[in-house]
Amino acid sequence: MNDPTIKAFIEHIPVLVVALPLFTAPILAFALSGTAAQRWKCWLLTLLIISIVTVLSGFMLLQTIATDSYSYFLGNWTQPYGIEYAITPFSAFLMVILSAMAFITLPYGLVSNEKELTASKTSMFYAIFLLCFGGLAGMIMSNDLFNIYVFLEISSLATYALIAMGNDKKALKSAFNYLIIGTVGATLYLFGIALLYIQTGSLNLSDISAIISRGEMDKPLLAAFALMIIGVGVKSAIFPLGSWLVGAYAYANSFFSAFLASTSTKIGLFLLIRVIFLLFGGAVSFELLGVNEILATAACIAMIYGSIAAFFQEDVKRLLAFSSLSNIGYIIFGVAVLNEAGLIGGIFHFFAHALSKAGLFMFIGAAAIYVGGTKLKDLGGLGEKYPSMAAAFVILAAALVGFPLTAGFISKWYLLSGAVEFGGYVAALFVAALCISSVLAIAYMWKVIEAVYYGKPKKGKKLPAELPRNITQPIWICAALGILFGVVPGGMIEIITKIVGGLL
Amino acid sequence: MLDVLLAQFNYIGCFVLLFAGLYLIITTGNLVKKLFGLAIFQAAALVFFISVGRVSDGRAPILEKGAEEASMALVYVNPLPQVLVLTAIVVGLAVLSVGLALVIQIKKSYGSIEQEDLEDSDK
Repeated sequence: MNDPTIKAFIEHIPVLVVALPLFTAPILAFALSGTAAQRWKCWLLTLLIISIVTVLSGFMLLQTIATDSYSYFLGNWTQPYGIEYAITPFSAFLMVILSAMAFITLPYGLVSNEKELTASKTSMFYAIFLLCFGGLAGMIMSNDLFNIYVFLEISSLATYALIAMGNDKKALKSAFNYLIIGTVGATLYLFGIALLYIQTGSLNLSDISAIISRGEMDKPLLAAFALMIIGVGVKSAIFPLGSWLVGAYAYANSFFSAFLASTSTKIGLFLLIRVIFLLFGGAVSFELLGVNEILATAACIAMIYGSIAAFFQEDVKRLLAFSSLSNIGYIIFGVAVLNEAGLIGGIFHFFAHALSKAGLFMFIGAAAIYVGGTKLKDLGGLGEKYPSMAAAFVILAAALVGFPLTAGFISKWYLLSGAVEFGGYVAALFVAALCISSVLAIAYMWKVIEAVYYGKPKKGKKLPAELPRNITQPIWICAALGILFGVVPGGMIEIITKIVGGLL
Repeated sequence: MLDVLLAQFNYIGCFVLLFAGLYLIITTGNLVKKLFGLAIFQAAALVFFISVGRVSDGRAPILEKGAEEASMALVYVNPLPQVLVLTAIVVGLAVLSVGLALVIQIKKSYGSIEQEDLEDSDK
C-alpha cells in the first residue's frame, strides 16, 4: 500500500470508473467487420472493463464506509473552480449497483445479442453500451451540476440509440418518444442550472448549497428548484413524467431492457435525492415548499396506476414495465417521508428492485429468444420444460411482490415504518396504496406464473432441451441475491443507515 | 412599464423561443418538425444562459499582453456561460442528429413520419 504507484492509482479511482468505459467505447466502434471472433472480443473487452469498474467501485465503497467521504478534483482545480467528484457512501453504493448489474447481465448479453442483433451492429452495440455506462457512472460521481447535465445527455443519447436497436419496429417509435421527452427534461434541468448560476455564481453542488443556506430562498431559486426536480424527474420516471418508460422497457432488446430497468431510473432517483437533500436541503425542500406532499401523492398514484395497468397487460414485458412505474413510486415515497426509516426503505428498494427486475426481464428475454414472443400465451410449457429457470422466476416474482425472506420484503417493511412515523393523512394514503398495489402485484405476477406453469405449450415451436448456462445463471444469481439480502439484510442496512445519515 | 420590458428583453426573447419550441413539439404530428421544435426549445436555454453572462460595456475575456497593470480598469464579460453554452450546443447537435437518424429509420420501417400514421400502423 505504500508503493507510490499504487497510491497514485488509488487516488485516481474516482475518475477511472468514469473514464475507462468512455475511452474504451471508441475502440470497440472500430471493430466494424463483425466476424464471430471480433464480436466475441468486443464482448470480452466490455466485460473486462465492467469487471475492473466493479472491483474499483467495491473498493471505493469499502473505503468510504471505513473512513469517510472525500473529494477528487479533476486536474487539481479545487472547488469551486474545477469539476469535483464526490465520493460518498451513497455514490459508491450506486456505483456498485450500476457496475454489478452490468456485470451480472453481460454474460446473458453474450448469448442474447448473438441471437437478436445483426452481426455488423454487435460491436457498435457494445460501444454505445459502454458510453451509456460511462454516462451513468459520471452522473453518479460528479458533484458539478453542469458536468452532471453533460453526463445525463451522454447516457440518455446512448440509451435512445440502444432502445432503437430493439427487435420490433415499435422500438424506433419508443426511442423517438423518449428522445423528445428526455431532451425536454434535460433542457429544463439546464434552465435550472442557469438560474442557480445567476443567483450564486457557482456550479458546484456543495458550494451552491452552502451559498443558498446563507441567504433567503428567493423566487429564482424556487424556480430553479422546480425546474431541476422536473428535469431529473423525467430521467427517474416519477409518475406523470414516466410515460416514456413503458415503451422503452418493452421494446428494447432482451439484454438492454434488463440493464436499463435495473439501473437507469435508479440513477435519476439518486440525482433527485441529491437535489432535494444536498442541494436545497431537506428542511427547505419539505417545510418551505411542501414538496413531500406533492411527491407522496404522485408516488401513491404511481403505485396504484402502475399496478392496475400492469394487471391488464397481455405482453409480459409491458407488464413488467408498468410494475417498474409502481416500484419507482415506492422509492419516491421513501424520499418524501423525510425520516430515517423511510429513506432506508427507499434506498434498500434501489437494489431490491434492481435485482428482481433484472432477473425478470432476463427471464422474459429468454422467452423472446427461444419461444419467439413475450405474450402470456407464449410462455406456456416453460415451467415443465425448464423447471430450474422457472423456479428462479417464481423466486424473483416473490421478491418483486415482497414476500417475507426476500429483499422486497425488507424495503417494504422499512417504508411502512417510515410512513407510520410520518403520520397524518399522507401515511394513511400510503399504507392504503401500498396494500392495494401489493395485492395487485400478487395478482399480476400470478398471471405470469400461471402462464408459465399451466399454460398450453406453443405448437410447432421446437425448444432446445437445455438453455445455455449464460442465460440461466444470471437469472439464478439475481434470484439468489434477492433471497440472500432478504434473509441477512443486516450488513446492507448498516451501509444504508450510514448513507442516510449523510443525507438528513 | 415599457422600460421594464425593454430592460428585460432577453428574458422575454427566450421565453418566446421556449414556448414556441414547446408549442411545436406538442402540436405537430410531423416527427421532423417535432425535432425542430426541440432545437428551438434548447436554443431558448442557450440564449438565456449566454445573455445573463453579458456585462455592460464588457470586452471579450482575453488577457492582452502587457495589460496586466491596466486590467483592473477593464471590464470583461463572464466567460463561463460561454464555455457552458458551447458544450450545450454540442449536446444539442448530438440530440438532433440522433433524432434525425431515428426519423430516417422510422421512415424506412413505417413508410411515414406522421405520428398518426405510426399509431394507425401499430394497431
